[in-house]
Amino acid sequence: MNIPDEPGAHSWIDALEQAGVRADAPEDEHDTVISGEAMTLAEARRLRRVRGSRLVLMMGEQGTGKTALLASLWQRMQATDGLAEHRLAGSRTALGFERRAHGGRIASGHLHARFLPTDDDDAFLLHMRVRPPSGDSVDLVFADLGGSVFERVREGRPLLQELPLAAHSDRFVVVVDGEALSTPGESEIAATRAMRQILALRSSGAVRASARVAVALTKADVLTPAGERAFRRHVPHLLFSARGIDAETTSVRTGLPDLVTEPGGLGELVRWLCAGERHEQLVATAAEIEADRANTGLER
Amino acid sequence: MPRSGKSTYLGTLWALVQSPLDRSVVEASFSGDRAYVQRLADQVARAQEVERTTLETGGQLSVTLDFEANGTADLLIPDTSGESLRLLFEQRVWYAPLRGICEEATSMVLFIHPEHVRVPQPLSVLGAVARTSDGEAEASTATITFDPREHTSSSAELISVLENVAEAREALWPVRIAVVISAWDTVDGDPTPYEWFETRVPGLLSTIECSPHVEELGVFGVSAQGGALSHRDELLAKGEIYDRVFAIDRDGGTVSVTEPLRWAIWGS
Repeated sequence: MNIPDEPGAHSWIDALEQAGVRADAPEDEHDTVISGEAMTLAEARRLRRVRGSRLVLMMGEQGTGKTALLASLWQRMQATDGLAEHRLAGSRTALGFERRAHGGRIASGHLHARFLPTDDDDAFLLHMRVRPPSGDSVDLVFADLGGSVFERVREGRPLLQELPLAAHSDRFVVVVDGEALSTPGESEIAATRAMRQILALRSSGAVRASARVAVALTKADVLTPAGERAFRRHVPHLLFSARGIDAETTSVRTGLPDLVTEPGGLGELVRWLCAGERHEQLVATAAEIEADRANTGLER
Repeated sequence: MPRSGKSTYLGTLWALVQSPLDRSVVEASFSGDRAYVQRLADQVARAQEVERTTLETGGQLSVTLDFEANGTADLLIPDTSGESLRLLFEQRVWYAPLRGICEEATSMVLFIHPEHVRVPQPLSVLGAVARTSDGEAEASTATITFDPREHTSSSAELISVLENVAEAREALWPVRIAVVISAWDTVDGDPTPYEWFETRVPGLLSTIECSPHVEELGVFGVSAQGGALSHRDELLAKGEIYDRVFAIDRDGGTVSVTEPLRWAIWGS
């Protein structure tokens, strides 16, 4: 069950502050230097007030590829023609994106380059301004949290206790690890872990009515035929479950942009991130659910 | 950023303003302190390395110029130290004079040196987080520590700077931005300046073109020395400054070296 949207424009920032996250920017906005690494809450508040930013919560346990997904998005958006006719129009956290991309860059000169796991203490609000073909730019604020919080959610800790900003997020990206799906013995664990995140959202009863959910397959570039089969088997269940929150939920496939010939997944993702809000709460009817079950092979 | 060619351009500009051979821009008033730019112009004329602008030594050109195509303009052109931008990007500190300039500027000329550009490197398949045999994510223990100065692409660096500039002059935007790719004689191949910009600093191009803070973008390739200082004799053999320097517009058409400044003031 969803709760109505809150009228307060800064509600998610308030929630973070109440949760003890420090607003460490100067009080005088005129003295503020944009942090570059990650947005401070003061910056986020001001951006929300001035431009109406959109909060995107990346959900997935450690190693699922949340950071790599964001780095891929940043990398690809830097191309002159952007993604799916959506172009980069700025970032207040370019340094933060670069830091995340660094671990995966060949030119780092390391034979075993790795995206470093995001620590719980890492600054986590990343900003990207995107201009869709329609013209008006959209300010996206990504919450890139360490994976341990999602492990606790999966283990049953109350979602809002662990993730107070979940109640105020505009978009949820639930990440499914394509590499794990391709690993014998790991595929169903990966799918189950993603499902637990969706169920935690559903059961929290605190998701905004206009919030939208996408299931993102990461590491599509290393997906094996077995992983592909696992994806096809599990994603309908994930989408079906997510429709309890967002009747228009979708799935995208993403991989590292320089190795995936068709970066359609990233384009689809950025289009989805910038698309308008749902204008009404679309609750699937019983008939639609049955039809959906039939379409996805989930008939009882 | 440091060593991007700003002072050399200023020296060449001043030399051309005074040159009877280039009449595209002339000095309309002879008053004012010209010591700083005169010194820069002399260094360019001798094909010497132009003194590096530091936070302490930054000068400016305050002058009334008469542009053949458009008319007279009162100009205040500060030779901002690249160090002040580096301070902003790396230390997140506004150098007060730079902030004042950004708040008051009516046009901007951004210099990029092709030999100092760091292009975004591709991501590797090895970038996937390693897994242990039991499937748990494994933190890398042997990675190269991220150093913003060394590992950040020029594009990201300048996007970050522009965001701060936009923030500082929010009430005054939009502004016209001329991008000058300096030392154009060192660019490989035969790209137009726009093509070069698109290839080497794509994220910045996209940001400028899509930013609501930017009114218009101009791109120029400028060789404000006319060649490499390491081949000084060869350079001087080409003749005086007017004979050896050159500039091209975004599509590769030949223009005066003074054109980026004229464009920054009046636009297309």
